[in-house]
Amino acid sequence: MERTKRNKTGPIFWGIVAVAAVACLAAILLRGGKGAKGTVNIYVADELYASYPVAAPRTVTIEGEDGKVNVITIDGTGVVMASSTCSNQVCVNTGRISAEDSELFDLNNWIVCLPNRVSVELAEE
Amino acid sequence: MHYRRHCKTAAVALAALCLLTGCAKKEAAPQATATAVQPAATVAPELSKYSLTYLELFDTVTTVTGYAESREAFRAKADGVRDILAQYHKLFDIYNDYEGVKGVKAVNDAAGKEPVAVEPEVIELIEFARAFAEESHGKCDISMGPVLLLWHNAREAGIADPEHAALPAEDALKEALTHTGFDKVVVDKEAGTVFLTDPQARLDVGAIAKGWAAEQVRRNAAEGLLISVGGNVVVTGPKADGSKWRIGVQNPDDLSGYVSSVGLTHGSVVTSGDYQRYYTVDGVNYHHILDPDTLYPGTKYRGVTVFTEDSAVADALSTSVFLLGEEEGRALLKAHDAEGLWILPDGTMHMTEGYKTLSEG
Repeated sequence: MERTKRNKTGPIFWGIVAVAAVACLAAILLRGGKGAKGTVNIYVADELYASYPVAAPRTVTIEGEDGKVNVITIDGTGVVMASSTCSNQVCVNTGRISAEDSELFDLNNWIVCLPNRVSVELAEE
Repeated sequence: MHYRRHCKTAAVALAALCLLTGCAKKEAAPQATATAVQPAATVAPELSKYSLTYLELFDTVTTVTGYAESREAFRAKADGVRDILAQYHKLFDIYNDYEGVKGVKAVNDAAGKEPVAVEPEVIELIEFARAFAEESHGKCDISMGPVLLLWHNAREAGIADPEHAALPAEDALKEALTHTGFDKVVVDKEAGTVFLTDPQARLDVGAIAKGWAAEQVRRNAAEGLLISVGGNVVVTGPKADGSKWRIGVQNPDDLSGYVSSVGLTHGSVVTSGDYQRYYTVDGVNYHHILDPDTLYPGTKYRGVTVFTEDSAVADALSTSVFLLGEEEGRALLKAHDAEGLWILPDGTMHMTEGYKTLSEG
């Protein structure tokens, strides 16, 4: 009796473990690939200029009139005004905004450069 | 023997994997969208949160946030807010003329010459400001135009050419002061006119214009909106799920951080601070809230936040309280059933009892 058990249940048991392990790993990997929800909407002079998913990292450079330049960095879960030619740097000093922060306060899902007329929104969808 | 040992290892490994999967599950969980509660017969509309910003009003940032069934539906509500604000922007703008608009600039342009027929609301604003100038012991004073103009010009020049940034001349400021005062502002309510008796007199309504405009929005805009007009925040109802809007007060030393927040379902909250509109001369920042008694920017606090129902009152109060000593400020707030927060230069925060409650709720 013992011998039979040792011969059959061992491989079956490990077979189950292996399948479960693969399933779990697959679940983690597939989910990790989706990334954060949310859209970065960029407005210039109050008109929608472009929309990008926050989950795909990229750098967007906006060149306005008179040498105005704003550089926006989307990093996969948030967005920041990396640099701006404006003199007050309020937009840069606003720092990075992300979905977690937006859940805390209701007005901080925007980075705005008033002098250069560039507004960046981190929208929920 | 072998069997039992393998069992333990396998159990631990399986448990670890399950935990990891569980964690991954949490991160991927979709954010909740507000859904209106409806009787069983009707299907509840899915409401989503939207936000828009307008940069052409009052030389500041206006943000409208709210819930709607679609982006288009929200834009309609937000543009409605923008249209209300645009009317007041034209009426109160002292730097530009607008076709068919007889507002504050027209009054300034006719100073020393003749009375100007204006929209009734301009007269309402001026009378509101006249009363507040007295109540605030002269700290909130729209007749300070001549002095404010000197600072405005110096600030614009200093921003355009930082190397040559300079303060307005002391004697120019003192001379400008002689052309201020409400005794020079003559209002004829029946004729609907305003006359500045001194040719060098000038009204500058910057301290109260945004609050006044925001108040009109608060009374007339769609429900359930959160609107900020350059830091003048009004709320026209709770969020779609009935919860409070959370409004943060920026850290004057680090604009990416917050030092306080309040939860609101109605009313107005205004912050006056020294950390967004300023210029630098010899390494020192000079901001835009001028103290009529010193003729220089106020330095008692980094910022003052005021809560009350009416946004025009909140705006006038925040300017006044920013420039007044704390005791006088508290008395003024109390007289208007308002609550306040002071951020001192060293970062310490003082608050009224009512503000404390708002910030904890």
